[in-house]
Amino acid sequence: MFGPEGSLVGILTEANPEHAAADLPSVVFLNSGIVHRVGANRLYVKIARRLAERGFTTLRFDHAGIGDSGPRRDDRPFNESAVEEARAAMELLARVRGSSRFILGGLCSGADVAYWTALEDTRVVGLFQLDPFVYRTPRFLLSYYLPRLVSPAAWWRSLSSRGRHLLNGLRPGGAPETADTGWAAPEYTRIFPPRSDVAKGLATLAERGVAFHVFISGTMFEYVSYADQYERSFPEVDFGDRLVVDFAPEADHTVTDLGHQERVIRGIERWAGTHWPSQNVSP
Amino acid sequence: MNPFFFGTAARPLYGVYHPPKGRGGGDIGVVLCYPIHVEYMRAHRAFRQLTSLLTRRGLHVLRFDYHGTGDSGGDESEGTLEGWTADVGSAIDELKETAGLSTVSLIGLRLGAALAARAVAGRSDVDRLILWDPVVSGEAYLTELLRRPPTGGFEGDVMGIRGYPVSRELFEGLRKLELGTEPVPADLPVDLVVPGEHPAFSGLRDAWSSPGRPVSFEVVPSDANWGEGDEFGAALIPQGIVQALVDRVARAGVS
Repeated sequence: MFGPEGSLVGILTEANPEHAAADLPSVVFLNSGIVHRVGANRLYVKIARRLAERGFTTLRFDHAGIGDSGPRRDDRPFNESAVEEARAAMELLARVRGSSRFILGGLCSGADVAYWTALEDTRVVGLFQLDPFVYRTPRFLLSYYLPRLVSPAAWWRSLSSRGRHLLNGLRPGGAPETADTGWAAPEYTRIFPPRSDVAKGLATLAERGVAFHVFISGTMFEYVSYADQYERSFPEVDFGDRLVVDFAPEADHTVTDLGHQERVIRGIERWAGTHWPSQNVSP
Repeated sequence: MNPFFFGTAARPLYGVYHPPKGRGGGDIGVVLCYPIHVEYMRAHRAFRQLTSLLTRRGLHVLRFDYHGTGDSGGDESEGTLEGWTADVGSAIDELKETAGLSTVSLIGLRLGAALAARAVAGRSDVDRLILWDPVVSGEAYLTELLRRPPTGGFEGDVMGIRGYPVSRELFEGLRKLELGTEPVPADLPVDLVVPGEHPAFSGLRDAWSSPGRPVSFEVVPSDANWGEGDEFGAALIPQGIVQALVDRVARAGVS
């Protein structure tokens, strides 16, 4: 247990000593929403164990109020408290394993926290992000809207779904049974920042030499429709050879399909192995 | 709370021991048995809340992950009913030793309820078995799991079911599971706490009831569907049932 109030819980997976190297960065996983540190479909556990096998020390932890971690006593907004807690995880690894460089990663809000923390802490040298902030491009708008403009069925579906949404919003009812009155969970409504802000942030990280691995699932179909859209949506960022984008429109947000899970794990393994080669292991 | 690993080197199990925070619980310890896979993810937060309420009533609580689930060692495809049942036994032993208790109660949700019921066979150190929305028929459970989204069947010895690899051994074990036929000790108090009337629940009550052991049966209405898919991983906390479970265990401690 660690963190500002000693109430954060994490699981450290030791690096395989056969492949560990002193200069390999350690890896920190960040919660996706309120899904605890094992990750949806236990994906974080699988990635962590595979990276550990390659020589990377990994830490999966729960932000305050999530999983096994206690709630915070202050009311700092999540985008601040989460960064503080991610940095506390890095401090822990620095203290107990001598880590001086870090890879941060996660799905959805975990991808967001990884990005914010990297902006704050120059020890971050790599980010792997599943469904991170993404932005439409002119080509996306053409490919997404043009077929719908000429399809009467698509118009009808669009109107119908909006009508249903309105009805749902007006439907009376008491508090949902899923209401969590036990203790405070962090509140975070995911709103993409202006594209120019993220471009500026990514440019800063790229100039610092940070390497990126981005996985985009089909759930982002309202934002992304082609493989190199991520890079093209940030034309002012010089990623050099430090960006890998895996566009998987057939995958869902939590990567339910076992084949897609393996694709994610293998992609991150290969990316990490390329930028930070382990001893006696090929990328 | 004290997170730790227990079990064996070949089968390390992640557990969290929660000591009592209040008075009045006597020497009652409760082992919580999670459901599995997608239902485990949805229930994790509810178990935290249940734990919090139980410890405030003065009880010792142990939550733990079965082999190949959560933070415990092993791959998901290594999960079997026999192995997980043995894990419940290890958790019982662990809580007794950690808290210095001679007996413990079990609360199990969904498949965790079935594993808890299987684990009590031949044991005399379990004083109460509380089954929360139990999986009564493994066949029906599989049918429900396989309904949505459709799966591609087995590839080799593993089938992906809603994000998790299920081995043939686990699949067959589930298919044959009939909770009513499990040999629960005749003198063990059993509580069924369920979200609604269903022939499967009343059938289980009837199968296990005997003149010496009436099975307590409580319906706490709830629409909670543990198996319902949620792409964004929402938690489910049916407050009414959680409170009913706490009252039931705490009441047993007073009596």
